[in-house]
Amino acid sequence: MRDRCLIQDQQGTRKEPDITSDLPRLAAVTRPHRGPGLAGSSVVPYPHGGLSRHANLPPGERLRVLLVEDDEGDAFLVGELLAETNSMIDLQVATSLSEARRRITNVDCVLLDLGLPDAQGLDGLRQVLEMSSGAAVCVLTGRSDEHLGIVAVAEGAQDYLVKGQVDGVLLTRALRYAVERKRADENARRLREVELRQAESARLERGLLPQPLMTTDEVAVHTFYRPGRHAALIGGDFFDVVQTRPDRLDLIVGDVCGHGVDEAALGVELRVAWRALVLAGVPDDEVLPALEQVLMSERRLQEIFATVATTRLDLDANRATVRLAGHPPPLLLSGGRVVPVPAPGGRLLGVRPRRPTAYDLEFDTHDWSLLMYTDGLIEGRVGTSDERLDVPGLSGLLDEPANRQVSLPELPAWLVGRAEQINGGPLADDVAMLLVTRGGGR
Amino acid sequence: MSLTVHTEQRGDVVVVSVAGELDMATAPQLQDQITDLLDKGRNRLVFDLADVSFCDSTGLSVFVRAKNSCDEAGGVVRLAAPQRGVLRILEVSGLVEVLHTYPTVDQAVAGEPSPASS
Repeated sequence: MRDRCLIQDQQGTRKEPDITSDLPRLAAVTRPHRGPGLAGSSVVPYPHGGLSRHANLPPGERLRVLLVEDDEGDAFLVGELLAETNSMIDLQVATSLSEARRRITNVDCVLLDLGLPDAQGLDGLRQVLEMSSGAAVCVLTGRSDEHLGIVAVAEGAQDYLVKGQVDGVLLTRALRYAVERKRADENARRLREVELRQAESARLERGLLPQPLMTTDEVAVHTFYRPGRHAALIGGDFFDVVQTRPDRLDLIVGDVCGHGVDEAALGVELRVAWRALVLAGVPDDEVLPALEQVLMSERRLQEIFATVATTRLDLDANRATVRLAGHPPPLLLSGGRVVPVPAPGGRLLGVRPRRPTAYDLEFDTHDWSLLMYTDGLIEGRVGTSDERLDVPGLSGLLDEPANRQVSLPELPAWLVGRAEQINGGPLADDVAMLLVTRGGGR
Repeated sequence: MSLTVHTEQRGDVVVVSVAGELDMATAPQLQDQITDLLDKGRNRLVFDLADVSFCDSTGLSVFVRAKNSCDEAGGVVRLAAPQRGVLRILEVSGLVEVLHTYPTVDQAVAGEPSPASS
């Protein structure tokens, strides 16, 4: 049932407040005239209570409003109301939903008559909400359908206005308020999304980068992680440290190729699987083949692979066994020198499985460090050339006299700082590091 | 830095010439080209890497994916003429044999059994 009047006469069933100015009011029976401008009105009537009586709206941007209204008279009157109040509103009119659909882009607010012929009531509102995306939506209801306005707000409209109870100032204010409220809602929604993403990343990071599981003080382990330049995309870098006997410590650093929640989650699975395999006492040579099976059975896409470097430390014998699966070699700091551990490069995990070769490393002294890292650390540029830092460049940084002043716990952060300096900005990829040191450490 | 990709049919092989840096930002571009080729039934691919100055693990995964798809379709993937840095990444990853890497495009097209890795 349509209510053709935006403002009904004073003999309506409901008592209207006194109208003391001659602001144009919409009525089916009497066409409005241009009354005196608002600036001249000392008292501006508000049919609704509770709103400020200041007539002049705060200065703001011009709003683009699309009125969806099939009644020419009402459309004309809305235009008049807005014109009267110097509303800074550019009004367009669509006479049907299908026309509205074509004109809805670049509109701040849609003012929708709930009684359109091609979509009555809430069905029309739902269609408008669907097509409006960023735009606010206000609905116009007849007096006898005021309950529809309340339902409309519950459905997602920002506000409702009752025909017969609106003047220009209220209409302008309602439209501006609807736009501001829509923006505030949008901002709140985006903020919530960011918070959820951050919480998810934080959970994944905790899974990828655990506390070392060790009690020995024969060696110290310093861990480091720095997200890449694209911080929103969490990488699949992970590390772990597990002590299974008083004289035995196992370490792993790995990287699942790709950036995203799936890859990070797979990194967590691999890290946990590795920890379980080591704790379960699976023979050293069998751990990486088993890990590869986990990867290949759990991955989402066939082309996803992972690179890992593992080190088993035999503390009593002062010896290490290093295995590489597509991963750059650890660096050994000892006797004032820095050298990559010359372990043979094994194939990365997930592409045509091949068992990595174990490389046994005998330490000459009880003062040494092993630096394990992910490739983000060595993929930075060297100045403006095409060259990348790579393993020789990283060894070179550790040979710089300046790093002798840097304490071992600070060394990973110092290295990333230097790599970024040479790169000329933040590194693109994530960097994870494990620095295990014994005695004086270098 | 941008990536350019050109393709050229040579006999029953398509030579895909790639130039630029192959990383997280540019790899999707190469992936799209490969998907196009596979859609057209081209599954014998030689990648000319002479002008690729850098390739990270995202780049490697594009080649691995191409290899999986071509293998499935009864085709083949070969790499040709990688620069020193890219060859090093292929060696460190252990993919140099898996991806059949040759010193020159001609050798890769011919598919002689003497990959650079051996």
